[in-house]
Amino acid sequence: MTATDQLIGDYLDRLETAVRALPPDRRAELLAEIKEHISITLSHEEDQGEATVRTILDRLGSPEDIAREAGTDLDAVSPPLGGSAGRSRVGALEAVVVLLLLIGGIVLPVLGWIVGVVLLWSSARWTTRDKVIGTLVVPGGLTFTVWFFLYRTPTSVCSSDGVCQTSGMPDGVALTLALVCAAGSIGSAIYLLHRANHAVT
Amino acid sequence: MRDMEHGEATNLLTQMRRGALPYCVLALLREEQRYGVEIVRLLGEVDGMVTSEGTIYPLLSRLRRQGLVETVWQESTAGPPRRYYRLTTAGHEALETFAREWKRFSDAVHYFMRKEDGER
Repeated sequence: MTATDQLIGDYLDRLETAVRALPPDRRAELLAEIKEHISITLSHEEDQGEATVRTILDRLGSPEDIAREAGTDLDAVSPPLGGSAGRSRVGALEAVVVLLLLIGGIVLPVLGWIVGVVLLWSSARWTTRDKVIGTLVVPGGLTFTVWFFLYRTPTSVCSSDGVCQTSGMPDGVALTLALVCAAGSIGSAIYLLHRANHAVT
Repeated sequence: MRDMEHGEATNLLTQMRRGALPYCVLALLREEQRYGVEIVRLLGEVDGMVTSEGTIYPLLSRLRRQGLVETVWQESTAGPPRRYYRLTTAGHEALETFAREWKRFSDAVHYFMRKEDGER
C-alpha cells in the first residue's frame, strides 16, 4: 500500500466511524460518493502525489463535519425513532446475531452460524473491522467446544476381520483447542456486544 | 460588546449561507444535469460559498429524499458510471419560488446598505 492509499484509507475509515449512526443505505451511499469524489478529483490532477491527496482531503473537510451535515437532517427528519437513548442500547437484532454466532452452529449445524455471519455483515451497528473479528474469531462459535465434550472419547471401529481403527485426536491437544475456541468465541461475543452498545452515542 | 455584535453578524451570515446553499445547488441544475464532483467544483469556484466540500454530498442526499432532485446513472467516457443529479418538477418549483423571494429580499437589503453608504 502506498502512502497516498494509506492517507485516503485513513480518511475513509474515519468517515466510516463518524457516520456509523446513519441508516446503512445512506451510509453506504455517502461513503461511495466521497470515495468517488476522491478518485475522480485525483484522476484530473497531473501530480497524484501525497501533497495533492492531502489538498483534496483538506478541501473535503473533516469526516466529522461531513457526518454532522449528514446527521443534522437525520435529527430533523426522524426524531420519533425512540430517541437517542433507546438507540444506543443493544437491540434485539444485535443480541440474536451474537447468539447465532456463538451457538447457531450447534442448534442448526453449520447453517446456524452462517446465518449469524450474514446478519452480522448486514448490520449497521458494526464496522468492517468488528465484522471481520466476529467472523474469524471463532468460525462456528462454540460448536467445536461442545462437539468435543460430547464426543471426546476416541472411537474405535473394528471391522469383522479384527482390524480396529481408532479415530479422534489425542485428548490433550483437542482439550486445549476446545478451550481456546470457547475463550475466543465468548471473548468475541462480548466484544461485539460492547461495540454495538457504543455504536450510537 | 463590539465583539459580541461582530460574532452575531458572522453567525447570521453562516446561517444564511447554509440556508441558501441548497438553492444554489438547485440553481446549478436548472439547465442541465451534473454529477457530484462537478457540482462541488462549481460551488467551490465561488469564494465564500463552501468551506468543506464533503458536506455537499449529504446535502445532495437530502435534496433527493425531499424529492427536489433525482439521480440517474450514466456511463462515463473515463472510468466507472457516474451518478448524475437533475431537478424534478418539485425542484424546479422550489427553485423558482426561492429565486423570486430571494431577489425581493436581497434588493431590499441592498437598497438600505447602499443608502447607508451614500449618507456617510
